[in-house]
Amino acid sequence: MLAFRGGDAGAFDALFHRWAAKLLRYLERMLRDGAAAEELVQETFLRVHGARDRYEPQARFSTWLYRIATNLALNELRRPRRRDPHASVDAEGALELVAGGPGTDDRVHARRMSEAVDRELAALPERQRAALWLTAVEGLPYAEVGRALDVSPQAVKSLVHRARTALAGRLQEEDGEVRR
Amino acid sequence: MTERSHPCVGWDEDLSALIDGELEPARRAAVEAHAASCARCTAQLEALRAVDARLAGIPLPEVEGRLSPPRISGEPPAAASVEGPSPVRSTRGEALRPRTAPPRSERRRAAWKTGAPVRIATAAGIVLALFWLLQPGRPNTPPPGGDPSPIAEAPETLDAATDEELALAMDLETVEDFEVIANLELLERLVALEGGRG
Repeated sequence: MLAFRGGDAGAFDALFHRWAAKLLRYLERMLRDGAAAEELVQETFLRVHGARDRYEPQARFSTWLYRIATNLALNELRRPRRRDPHASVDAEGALELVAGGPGTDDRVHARRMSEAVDRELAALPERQRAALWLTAVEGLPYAEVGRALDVSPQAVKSLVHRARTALAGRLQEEDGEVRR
Repeated sequence: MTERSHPCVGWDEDLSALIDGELEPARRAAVEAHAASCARCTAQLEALRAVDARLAGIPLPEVEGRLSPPRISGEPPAAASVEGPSPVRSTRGEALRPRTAPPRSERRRAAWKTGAPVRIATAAGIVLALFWLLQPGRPNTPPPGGDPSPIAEAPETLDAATDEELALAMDLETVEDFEVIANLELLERLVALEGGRG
């Protein structure tokens, strides 16, 4: 990031290639819409580029990046008349179920388990979802998640625990239904 | 022993903090020691850790060589952009759109510019409708047979606006982005004109 800030254009591409996949995975979870998530990855890096002079070296780049991405995602979720992407995801799963083939049962089971995580994540309140993901998956400390969400570390602790507890209960219920 | 009287009820959040490595050493030792002897906390810790394991199983999407860094205006296009976009797949396996469209902010600005006259007319219609509704001597019904005044036509102007135009007009981010304050001056002039008529 420091090289990029110093005018090294190649450093921007290096940053993009290092973080784009993680950012896309996070934004897909936040938005449940692959196309919108991809657009926000681009938008996030455009803003990183535009604000590079304001980057403070003592702050972790990941914190800065996720703060920008989280703000964009929360804005996107507040936009009126967002299209509901759930239908397309469900339809995709239904097509695979019809396809059949060797090992279908295992794949269908794995697919259902994976979809269950995504579905239950999507059902969490936005800030709980973001706090849990940034902590449990991206490994950011509470203090840095707090900076990304503009809340205190204590609030992050509470958000993460509520999200984790809710998800634990719902996944246990879903897993029970899948096994039946 | 009821759950409410259980000594560890009330500090469940510390179980999450334990998993996240966010407890001070002394507190961490106390929670670990308690959890080791408490069936409830042991089960709870196991369930919470299972959530993290499930989340960790969500794979990274394949973007290498497919999702290109955004082109910054004034800079030459990167090699990947010259080659053209290739299909991108999300972690759910769905095809993502190639990177040919300009960024969302640029598209929204362009959309605002092209639709500005319609939106200004819509906003003016809203102001006129409000002015009409708030007039102290406003009759409940329009005069029969009279020519409809521009004020009386205001609700029709509102009806003519599409849902998307109304949604865009109510989008706070858009309002900030496109400095509608400038349009407010126009609206204020319109209100002053209507006030002058009354």
